Amino acid sequence: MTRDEVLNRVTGLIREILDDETVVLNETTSAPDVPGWDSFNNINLMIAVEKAFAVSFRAHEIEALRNVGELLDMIERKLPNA
Amino acid sequence: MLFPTYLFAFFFLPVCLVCYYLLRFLGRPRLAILSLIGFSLFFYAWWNPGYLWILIGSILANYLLSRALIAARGSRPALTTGILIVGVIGNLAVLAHYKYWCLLGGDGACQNVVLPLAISFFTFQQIEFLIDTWNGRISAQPFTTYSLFVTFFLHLIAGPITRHSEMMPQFERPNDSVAANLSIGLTIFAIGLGKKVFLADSIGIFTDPLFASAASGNALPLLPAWIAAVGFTLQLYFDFSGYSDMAIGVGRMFGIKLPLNFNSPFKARNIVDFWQRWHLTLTRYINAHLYGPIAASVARRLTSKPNSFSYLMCVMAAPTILVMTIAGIWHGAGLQYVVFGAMHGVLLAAYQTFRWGTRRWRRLETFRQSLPAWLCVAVTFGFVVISFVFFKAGSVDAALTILKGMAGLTWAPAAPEILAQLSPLKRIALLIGQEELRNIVIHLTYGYFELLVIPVGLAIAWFAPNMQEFLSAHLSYQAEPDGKAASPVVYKVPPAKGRFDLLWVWRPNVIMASLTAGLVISALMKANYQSAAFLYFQF
Repeated sequence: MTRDEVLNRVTGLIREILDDETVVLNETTSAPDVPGWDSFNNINLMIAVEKAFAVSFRAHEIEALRNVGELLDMIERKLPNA
Repeated sequence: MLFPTYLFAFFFLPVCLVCYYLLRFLGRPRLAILSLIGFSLFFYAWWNPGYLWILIGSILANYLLSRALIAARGSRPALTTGILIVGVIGNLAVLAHYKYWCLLGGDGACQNVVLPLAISFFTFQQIEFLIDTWNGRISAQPFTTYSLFVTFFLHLIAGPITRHSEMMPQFERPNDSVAANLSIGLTIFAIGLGKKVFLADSIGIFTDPLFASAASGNALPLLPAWIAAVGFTLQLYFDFSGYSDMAIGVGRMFGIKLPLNFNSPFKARNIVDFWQRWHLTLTRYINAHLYGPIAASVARRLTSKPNSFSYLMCVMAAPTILVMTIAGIWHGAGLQYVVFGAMHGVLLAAYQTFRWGTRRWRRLETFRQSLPAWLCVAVTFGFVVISFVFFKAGSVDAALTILKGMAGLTWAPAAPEILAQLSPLKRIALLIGQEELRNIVIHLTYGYFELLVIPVGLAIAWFAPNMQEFLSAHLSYQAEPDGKAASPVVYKVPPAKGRFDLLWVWRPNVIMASLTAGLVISALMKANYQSAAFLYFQF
């Protein structure tokens, strides 16, 4: 899976969670840039990503994330065939 | 030692800065760090030398635990987790001992407890340090830098709650030039000093007696009740954010960028927004170590759909109310703090439930979008004011007395001695006794002039740019010391307000330098004859 594909899937997940089709993510987007991306929706996104990519995150990995790029790094690191 | 004193501003701080930079330029960075530890311990002991031993004991114990964690890390995971649990419980036990032991002493025993200064802040930072050591974020640290991380006088007393990984590497790679750091740092310090001395302390003159009056069982009429509640809300904000700004400013003078702690909280349009603007480093801490782990582990165990009501209640509502209640109890022993925390938990949960509803029903979303911004800001502010009544009042009864007054339920005219508590009214009442009509007129204007600080404070909180907007071009939290992007929650510097750019944006020039100097000196002169402690010290 290419990085763009991962980004597109993550974008799809956050759009579904926030019910907002206009959300556009890039490598440097962080939660405060996106209206409605609060701590509750952040957990929703993490759980959705875990399910969608069949990976699992630890609590300290989640809280250390600072932007979308770091989330993509973490997903790619954990993907089975990476 | 308090920041707004001549002793701090004209003696302690300059001597400390000169020592620090001199030792650095002489190529002795370790000695420079040792000198800062020495100055910090002196700063702490100035208050009450007896508590120094608690601080030093806590540092030693936590440092030994962190070394044990590093020794066991990797090879023996069960033992590592065991050490972490012992460390966290030990720290919390010491905190609980000082904060809640008084509850066993019966009624009123908790009113007069004097806590070891800053015990919450150094406990929180050290617990986070242990967690970060446990999960491998931090490697082995020399005892000196660890001691400085905990004791550094900037954030020791009332935050911002700083993380080892964001602060300590900056001592190895100082930011920017010394001249830039000193001028920007002093400006931030001056802004904080101004907030504290001219706004917070001026409001405290009449809020403190009003709350004291309610605590001793007197009913408050409508207007004084509102003055007390709105006044205290402003007082707490200017006091605490002023302290944070002063800490950030002094940090910058040493070339250290501390995380931001406030972002115009009263401009929040809903209660979630409020907590993303108020005491940012506490919100970050709670999300990282309490809400996040609890909510994620609940969510993984649930079988219900993520957009169902039961999921919302289990993953959002229950953990939010739990965590906010804990945060409330942390503020002190007493039912009023439980009410304060639980109230915010319930409000946050109610707002999230409303948002859940707007995603399901279009008409509700249309209604939400039709709400004018000023109404959202006003309603959010109203909730916050009511919650802070519980925060400030010495008991739930006292809080209810004030809320009754605010609701207009206190019909009986207030007794003269209560009116006398309010400083402007006090003069009027006294003068009426003396029947000096001419003086009444003079003092009436003077008395109400004092109250003007409330509308002025509201205008500043709602319409003026905040510290980071004012200095946005010069704060530049582009990256954290580890080279990664800066954590957005506490480092996001908003762009300056376009409309007032010319007027509001800070530049290193003579005008700004004179304004800063004038603000510092006038604030210190005012603070010098009315000493008032910072509100957040007692936590």
